[in-house]
Amino acid sequence: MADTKVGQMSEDVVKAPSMMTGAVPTKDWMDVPAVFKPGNYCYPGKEEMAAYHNKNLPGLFGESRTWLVESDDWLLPENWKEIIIQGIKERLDKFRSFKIFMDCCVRCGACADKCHFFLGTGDPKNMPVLRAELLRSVYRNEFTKAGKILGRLAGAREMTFGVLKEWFMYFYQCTECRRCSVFCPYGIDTAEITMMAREILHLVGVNTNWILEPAANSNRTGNHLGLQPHTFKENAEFLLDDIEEVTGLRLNSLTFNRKGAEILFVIPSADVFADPGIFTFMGYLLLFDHIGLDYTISTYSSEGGNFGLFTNNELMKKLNGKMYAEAKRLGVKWILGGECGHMWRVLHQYMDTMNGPADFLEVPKSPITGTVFENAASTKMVHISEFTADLIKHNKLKLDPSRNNHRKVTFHDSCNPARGMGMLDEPREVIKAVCNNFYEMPENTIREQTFCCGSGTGLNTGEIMDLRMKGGLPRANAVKHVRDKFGVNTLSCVCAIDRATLLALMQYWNPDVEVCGVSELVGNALIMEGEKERETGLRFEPLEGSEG
Amino acid sequence: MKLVELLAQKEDVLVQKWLGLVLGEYPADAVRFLGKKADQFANPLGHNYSTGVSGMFRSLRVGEEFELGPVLEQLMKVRAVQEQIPSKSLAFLFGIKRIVRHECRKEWTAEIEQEWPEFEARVDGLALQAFDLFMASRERLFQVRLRELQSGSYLITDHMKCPSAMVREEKKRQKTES
Repeated sequence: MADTKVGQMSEDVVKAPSMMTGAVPTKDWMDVPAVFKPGNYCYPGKEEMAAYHNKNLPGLFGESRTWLVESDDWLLPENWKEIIIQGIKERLDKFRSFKIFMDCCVRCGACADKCHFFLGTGDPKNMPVLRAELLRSVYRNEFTKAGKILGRLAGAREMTFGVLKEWFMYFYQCTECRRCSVFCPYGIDTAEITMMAREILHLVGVNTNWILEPAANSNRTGNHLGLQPHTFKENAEFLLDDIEEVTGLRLNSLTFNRKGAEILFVIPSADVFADPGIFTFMGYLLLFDHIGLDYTISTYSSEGGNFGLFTNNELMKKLNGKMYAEAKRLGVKWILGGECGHMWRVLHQYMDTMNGPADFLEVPKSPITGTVFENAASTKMVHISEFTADLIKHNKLKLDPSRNNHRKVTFHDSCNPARGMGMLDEPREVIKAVCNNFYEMPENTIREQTFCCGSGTGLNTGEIMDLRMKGGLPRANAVKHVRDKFGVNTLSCVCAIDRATLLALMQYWNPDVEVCGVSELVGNALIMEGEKERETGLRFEPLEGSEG
Repeated sequence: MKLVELLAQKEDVLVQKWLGLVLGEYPADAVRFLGKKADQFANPLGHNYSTGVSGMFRSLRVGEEFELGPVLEQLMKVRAVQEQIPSKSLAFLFGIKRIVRHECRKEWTAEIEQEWPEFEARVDGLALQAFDLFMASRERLFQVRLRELQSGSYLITDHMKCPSAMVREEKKRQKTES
């Protein structure tokens, strides 16, 4: 807590310009420095984590060292500016989209008020246009004639330590959710600008631990938690005990690393460990048992979430490749994916270019309905909500939606499945079939206009909880609306990071709203053959009519 | 004219000035946007401020006839995550005293001067109520973080250690102790 001087305080209250006149600071954005203080930045990467990544992908993660964000010396290499300029140049040559995005913005401002971080913090540098300018200004200075000649007049500026600090602050206040891109008349994908900026920051070792360590774990053990195969398997099996307690059935269809299975099922690893993801996992298992699916789960490719996406394209490619390597090794026909977020972004937008096409697999075909998923003809990977919606459409599931009557449900479109892969209707079809009480949030907060949870792309770490609550305000505000209007008590979604972070967001803004995965609701409603009469839902909460 | 009548008559301008005071803390480029009366979902921060400030003013004007609790709580939740020290977060609450005196200087009478201490006391009461809610919000924020650690969600948020690592450490500890 700051040392508050009473005299100074009363002076501020009476004389500060904003207090008396409503006058506001009017400095040009280039003259407002980024100031780091506890709570507004993520902890930097541990030395050994950067070293680990450097060993695997030399040169992409800068020099490993212990550094402090609040210090004025980040222990950067002597030639850090050259590295950065060279890093920009290489990427301009390699990625045509980056070059176009640097050049084609006309600063129309359509994106300015669309970012949840701007809407929640009121910081102009979180306007997507201005965030991009942080990088674009350096691009102009180094790579355009106008910038070289006219300098600041042309919106150009030199790369300095102050600029570097700005980059670290604001490119880590962007969750790459792409809401702003929906409104850009030129189709600029600002998320890709953030991706480039983060890649470039990594080149000089400016990083965050919450991203480096999960990415290292994913590379080493297959999942971001660093769980070894036996632990992963044991935990999944614990959940079979819970299913048995709720339904009276011992499922025996769950297998690991089984060669010759028809389908490889890839989940975000949090679904095996963290509340409330574990209930989603129980939902998956019940569904697969219900329809007699021939599937297996891999302990090698035990993470859907691609943490490489938050570092650089090489690591993203490598982690995505693991799923396909495992599919090949096990000899499955196609891949089914769980309720994950950035796994789908990577899959839908980058997989084909990086690792595709996956010709050794078959075009996914539902063994139950015969539906061929042409949309996945190249990636060979289908989303669990697409798969479930198809089952429901063909009447292949026995459902009792009244088992979810204790829930008044709304649906949060997770950014990556919604905007990253265009999956908007399937989860809704599923929810409507398994729940009797479903209420949409306002139109400008859902579907392709959905608001981010505020904690994606590696920002879901505890040290920036204040920032997370601000970034999540637009989403929480829309949830509050349906809670007040319809009594909504359940916020469903199809993303593991959402399930973790919306939980915190709700506990702060709307404490009586719970968070769940869509497959949990499916698991509750499924009428399993031979089951006992259910008295509770999958999280042992009493069903309507069986309270007390 | 009584103070309460004057406040009713000038409600719009007084609320706007008060709102301007708190929005004035934000950079100019943001204020232009936050002050807009846009759809509440397109401008949640501006909406929360404007609902909060007009609610507080109404409560000062009509007293307990207006149920301020939920509105003030929401406003304080917003203020509690603005990364400012408490005094700075709450200072704007007292600003309404100066705003009223300044905006109503032409209509100021001896009668109003007599009523003034009571109004000031009401503002102070409001500020104290707000302070409680502000601190409750900070407390809640810490609880949320604590719960994240305890519930296991930390595994995908803070990334601490996996259970098997904890078991190994526990075994190691027991071995050392024995």
